[in-house]
Amino acid sequence: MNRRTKFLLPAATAAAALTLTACGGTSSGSKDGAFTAPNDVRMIVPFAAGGGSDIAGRAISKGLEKVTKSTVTVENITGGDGAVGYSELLASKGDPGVLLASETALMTLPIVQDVAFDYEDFTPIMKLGSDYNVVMVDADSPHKTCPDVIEAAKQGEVTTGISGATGPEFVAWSLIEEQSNVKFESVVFESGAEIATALLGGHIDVAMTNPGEALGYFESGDLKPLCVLAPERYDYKPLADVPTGVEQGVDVTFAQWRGFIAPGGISAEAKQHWIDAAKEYAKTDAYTKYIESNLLQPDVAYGDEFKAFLDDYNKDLKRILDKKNDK
Amino acid sequence: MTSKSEAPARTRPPTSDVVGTAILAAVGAFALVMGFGYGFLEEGGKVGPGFLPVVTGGFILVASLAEITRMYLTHGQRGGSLMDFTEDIEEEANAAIGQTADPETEGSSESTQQRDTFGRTASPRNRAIVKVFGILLAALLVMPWLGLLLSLTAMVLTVVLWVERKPLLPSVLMAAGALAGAYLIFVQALGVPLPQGALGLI
Amino acid sequence: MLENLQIGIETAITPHNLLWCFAGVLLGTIIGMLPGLGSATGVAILLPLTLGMEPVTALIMLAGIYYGSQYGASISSILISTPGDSSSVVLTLDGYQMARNGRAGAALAISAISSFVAAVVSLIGLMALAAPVADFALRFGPPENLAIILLGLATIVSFAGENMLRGIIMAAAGLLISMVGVASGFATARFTFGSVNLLSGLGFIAILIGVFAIGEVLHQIHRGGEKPIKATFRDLLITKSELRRSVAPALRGTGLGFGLGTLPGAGATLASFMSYGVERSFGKFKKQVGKGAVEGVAAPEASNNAAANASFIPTLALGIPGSGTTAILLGAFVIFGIQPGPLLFEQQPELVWGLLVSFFVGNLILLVLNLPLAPVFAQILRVPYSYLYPIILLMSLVGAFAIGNTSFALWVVFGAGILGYFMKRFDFPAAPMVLGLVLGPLLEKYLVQTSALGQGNLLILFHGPISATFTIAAIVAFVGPPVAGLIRRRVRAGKEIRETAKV
Repeated sequence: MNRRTKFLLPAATAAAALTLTACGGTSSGSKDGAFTAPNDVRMIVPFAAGGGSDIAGRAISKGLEKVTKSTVTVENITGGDGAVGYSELLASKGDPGVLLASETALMTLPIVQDVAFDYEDFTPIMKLGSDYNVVMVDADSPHKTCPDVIEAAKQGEVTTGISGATGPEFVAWSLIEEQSNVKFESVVFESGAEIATALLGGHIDVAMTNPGEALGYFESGDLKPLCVLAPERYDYKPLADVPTGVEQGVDVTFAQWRGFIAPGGISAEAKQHWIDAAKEYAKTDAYTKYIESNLLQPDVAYGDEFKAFLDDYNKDLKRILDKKNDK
Repeated sequence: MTSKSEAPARTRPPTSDVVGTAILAAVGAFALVMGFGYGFLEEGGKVGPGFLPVVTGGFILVASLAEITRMYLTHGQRGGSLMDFTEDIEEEANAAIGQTADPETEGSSESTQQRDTFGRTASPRNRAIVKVFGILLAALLVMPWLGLLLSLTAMVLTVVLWVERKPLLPSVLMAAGALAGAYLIFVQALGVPLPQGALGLI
Repeated sequence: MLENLQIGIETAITPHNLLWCFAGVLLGTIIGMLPGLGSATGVAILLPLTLGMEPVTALIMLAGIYYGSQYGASISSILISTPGDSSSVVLTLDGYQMARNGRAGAALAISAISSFVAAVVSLIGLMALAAPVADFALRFGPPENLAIILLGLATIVSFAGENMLRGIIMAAAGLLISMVGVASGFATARFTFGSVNLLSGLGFIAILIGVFAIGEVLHQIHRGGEKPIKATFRDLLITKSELRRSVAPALRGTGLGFGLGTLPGAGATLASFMSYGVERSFGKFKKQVGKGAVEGVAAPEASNNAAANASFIPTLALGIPGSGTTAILLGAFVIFGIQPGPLLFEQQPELVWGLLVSFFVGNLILLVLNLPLAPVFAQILRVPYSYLYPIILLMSLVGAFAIGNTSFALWVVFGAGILGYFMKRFDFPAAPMVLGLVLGPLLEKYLVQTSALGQGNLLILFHGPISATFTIAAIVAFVGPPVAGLIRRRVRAGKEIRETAKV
């Protein structure tokens, strides 16, 4: 907890670069030549304590501490909707002693905002899993399946709730709109819980969110899941009977992913070190517990495989978000 | 909590008030223009990202201009302004302020010679403010090298010695105490990753 | 209800939980007292400490940190006019004045007692009303929430002090500052000029630190500094009449705070501002409010605390935080594998009721701890200001860094400090600006949502009975005082009793 680390002033890039070269070597073992695993590792969480990224970052760092000899310290570096944390990782180029708990913002930020990094500037290590969306309505709603909702949107006005203007839900709805040639009226909220209560209060007609944020309402029967936008059904109890969108003829499986990445420009040995550690971590109970308690689908991927996934993902994302920007 | 309208000359409002309000008006105008650039309304007449900046900026612009007008009107002759209601409140407040003897009016009008609790008179006081600002700025600028705690401790020491002209020993003791306190609380107890700077000490 | 109370007492009063509750309250108070650090920062930086504990114990401790640091922030607002939290900003008005008048100990005591009264009353409220209130809160959609925020903004009229127009301008300026960054509901970055650091806006707490801590310090130097107050111990004690005068405002504040706190998203800041506004506009001693009246301390402090307690209703039952701090606590729930929602009250009664009863216990500890300590804390005013202010500068800057672990916050503090100095110097009130800053993001969020729901037609504000009522109340609150002023002036002019300027 007490490890203080080299610090960079994000604004003064020139000074930052200087500082980095001056002292980057001390925290890692990677001067040129043989790679030794770093003792002290920073796990950057680009969002505030208590959020989804923070939970993931803390789970990963605990897991990695168990399977490596390193001390992994979580640092919440917030600001810029995540951009400040990612910029810090960008400035740590070549330092294998820094990691970042990453998610979709890695790719949305470079598309939507004017930031200095792109997802290709970093070294993808591990995708822990995916958080797919579940389409849901109020228990009293006449809609019974996802195609019902799409049909209703063809007939008239259907209001949906999404969390964040450019989040995964937005992209998923846009993909559905594209596919079925309909238009939804979307209201932007800030969290899945807000969306769930807006459904309960009858302020919106239909919404999608991560299963974790609505599970309580499914169990209590206040909200009704229509379909999960995932390739396969969930194993978790209240969701096991919910058909996938694909089964119902809605072929959209766009999800929020979670994982961790390292800075760009690290040595092949360093990259392999983290991939091996990640594979070790995926075998532990701690990993399973994290996945289960957050209702993720454990579709893990490492290194280059993860990178290939990101490339595909980025294509969809870019198409949808660029279209939004052009409007 | 001072009111410049207390000043004896009632013909012209204080320049500083007019300038301050004019700056606000300019900020409002800027936000108004920028807001339109962000998009006032979206398709279908929905609120766009520029809606609130335009509304707020426009409001600030109009209100600041009204305030400037009011200042000139009420300082020339009282009454006739739409904003008269504010004067009622102003009067009440002024009466109250009169009782508690406002230190600023004291400082600026009555007693240019009178020393304050720091042992300073009016003009060194203004210099002290500039000095503190400068030291603060310097501390932030050297932070990437010295680290946060050391540069701030240097700031404390400089302020006490140079601005406040306190004896050396108590100043050093106090600065060291502040450093130790901040280190114990933030670094040891709370585990905040304070920047160490290029020096990398603490 | 009594059964729940029993479950709660059994959970909260185990020696183990009591100990951690005490530790939380104590730690929270210390952190809150540091200039610039308030409950949101306090809970965020202490959260990792609790990760190894039992969920109930951890939450009890976190809740203790929450109101401990709220009280601590009140202490620093009252004594050195540097609030660590938006909800204690109001205390820099009358609380600080009281301290300057030599009544610091009394102000601290009133603040502790009002908090305690609020805690007891709102605990009863929570137990009796949690379920129906959560149901009622569901009826608050975007238009209803927008109407509440508008009503909250209208209360600035009562804050504006001697110059109403200036107050309103500053509130608008606060709104404008809150718009920096990516807007809620859009992807457009506004007023960022290409800076990544500005994407999520200027940190609100950093601005608070700059305007209040740095701005106040520089202003003090300009004014020549406050004289150290040499009050005897006896002078610092609260008097009977002060106590008597605080009762009604504290109860009014509790009611208002509880009501606003139960609404998702409204939170303690709005409550403290509004209840201060009520005292200033309608209270028995309204003329004195703003000049160091006990009412101006009791009401906002009670309402702040009641709102903090009540905000656990939407947080626990709906998963929607009522303030920045409850947002972090919500994250803590999730870390402990507790899913807030409609079933939480049924599935985990020990946790919910243990936590609620611990509020009472924690506030009792706070009272017992702070009543005797209040005169001791007040001794800080005897430290010569030349030694005190450099330390305030140091602590506030380190605190500002600790919020998000970025040094950008330090520059925000610096800029806001310059702004705060000139605002004080040229008499632009800071409290309305803070209200604008806090409400700005909420205003925009609900405005955009309402507009999307009404497909561009904002008049849907008048469609629902709740939103229509609040909107009309907001309009009356905003336009009422000026119109009343005009009428009053007409009448006075008619009778020709209006005195020409005495000065």
